[in-house]
Amino acid sequence: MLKYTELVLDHFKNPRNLGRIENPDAEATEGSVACGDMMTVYLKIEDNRIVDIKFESYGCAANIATASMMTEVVKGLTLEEAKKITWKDIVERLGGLPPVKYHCSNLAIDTLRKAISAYEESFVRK
Amino acid sequence: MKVFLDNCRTTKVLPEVVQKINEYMLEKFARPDGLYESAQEIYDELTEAREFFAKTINASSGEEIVFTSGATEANNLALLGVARASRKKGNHIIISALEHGSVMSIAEALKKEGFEVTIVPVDSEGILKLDEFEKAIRPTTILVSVIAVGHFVGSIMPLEEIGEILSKQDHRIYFHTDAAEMYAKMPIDVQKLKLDLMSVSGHKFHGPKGVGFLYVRKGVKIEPIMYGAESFDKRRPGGENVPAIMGMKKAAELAFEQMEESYRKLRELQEYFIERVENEIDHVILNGPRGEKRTPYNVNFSFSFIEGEAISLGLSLEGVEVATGSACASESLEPNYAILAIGGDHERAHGSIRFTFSRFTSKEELDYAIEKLKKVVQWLRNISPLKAGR
Repeated sequence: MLKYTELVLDHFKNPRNLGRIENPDAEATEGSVACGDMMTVYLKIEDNRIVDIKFESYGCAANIATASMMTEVVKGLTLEEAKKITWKDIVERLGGLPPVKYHCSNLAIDTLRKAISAYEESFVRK
Repeated sequence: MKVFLDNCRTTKVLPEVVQKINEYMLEKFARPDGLYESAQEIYDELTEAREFFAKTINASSGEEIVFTSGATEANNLALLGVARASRKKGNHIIISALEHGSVMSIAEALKKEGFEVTIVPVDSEGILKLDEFEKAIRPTTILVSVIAVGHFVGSIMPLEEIGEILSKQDHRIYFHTDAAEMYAKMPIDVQKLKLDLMSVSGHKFHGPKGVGFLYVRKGVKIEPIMYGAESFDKRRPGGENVPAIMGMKKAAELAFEQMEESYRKLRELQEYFIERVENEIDHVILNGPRGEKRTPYNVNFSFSFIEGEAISLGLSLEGVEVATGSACASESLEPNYAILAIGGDHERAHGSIRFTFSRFTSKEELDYAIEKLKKVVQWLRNISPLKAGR
């Protein structure tokens, strides 16, 4: 069994910001079932600020915990601030992850950035 | 409550076994090769232990039992020892797609020594395809190694049919099985199955870890894989781990006494467990065969839309300990090869959970495990972006 920190286990057992947002301003899904991890992020944005964020996860405990921590970190940030958050910030905030699980934190960040891009592109099109 | 359902990985050591081990640690600590009374006593008892293990598999003599540090060493000795000793006769080895990781790695190592290895596929239930097996045999084939029970999906391999096919060849092909998941759980007759070599591990049937044996039929050419002083068994030198061997003997005695009764009880519990999971949880797939083709000690389900590492960790937090075939739970991040070998896709491998029983597993424990399983599966499905029909 892989060793997880108490904080990772806490986020796994009680994920923050879990679920869907009806009529989100942006949403994105990354990962695949074949790879064994997949995530959907929903954003509510006002004045370029993330006022609400929710996620759903198909994946291991690290996937769920990093998604949960990511939502906690970026909620309330401006889009510019949120884009600067890296997977390392998330891993640090969780008190570390087994190295084999680093890619899970990548997925959380990638999904967030994809959702932000989708939001920004929707304005370009308008 | 704590429910251990990973008995295919290891089992708890019984107090009677610990007592035996202590006796041979604290009192009868001599080695069998001394020239004094206490050594002679150990020599006689070890000889008796060899005879005992030989009888349990219908071998013809105790001399055919070689004690090892477990099934991994027994597999190494069988495959490396026999392949190297028969090198002049041929360089081809056949194994099944469901071999234990140790046999898979040994086969890889043998390829580097110039041997050729054919991996024969299994069907969707995890049972060796006999027609493909027969076609794989070449004039240069020297050794066949097929696991007795697929350790992940519980399929019982057609050892008798394989033995029969091998006995009809016009040249001698040695037949080895890794019986770690079968020995002391089901009857094994090396004469009936026409086996030449068989690996056994003590800790799979409530004995200690770090001990096992290899059955080597008289006349089988085998080279040692390590070397030691003259006074030892040349096939496997080094002082025997007497306390562990005597502990394993005690564990085997107890297991064989209760074998039929345990088999019947576990078959009932297995059917009960499968039926309840299939009736009470949607979107589950039973991996491996049903009925008599499956060991009663194993159940393996894939749960759709969720991932096995999270299921097993969720269960562990509820006190239920199981194994998973998810890539996320492995160091290599590869999905379980057994699920892929029976035709499952990556999702089925990632969502697979193995529940393995011991003869001490109770209905009460399974009821507890099912309640927790329902809770964890439902919870993870709520989290998952994948849903039925979405």
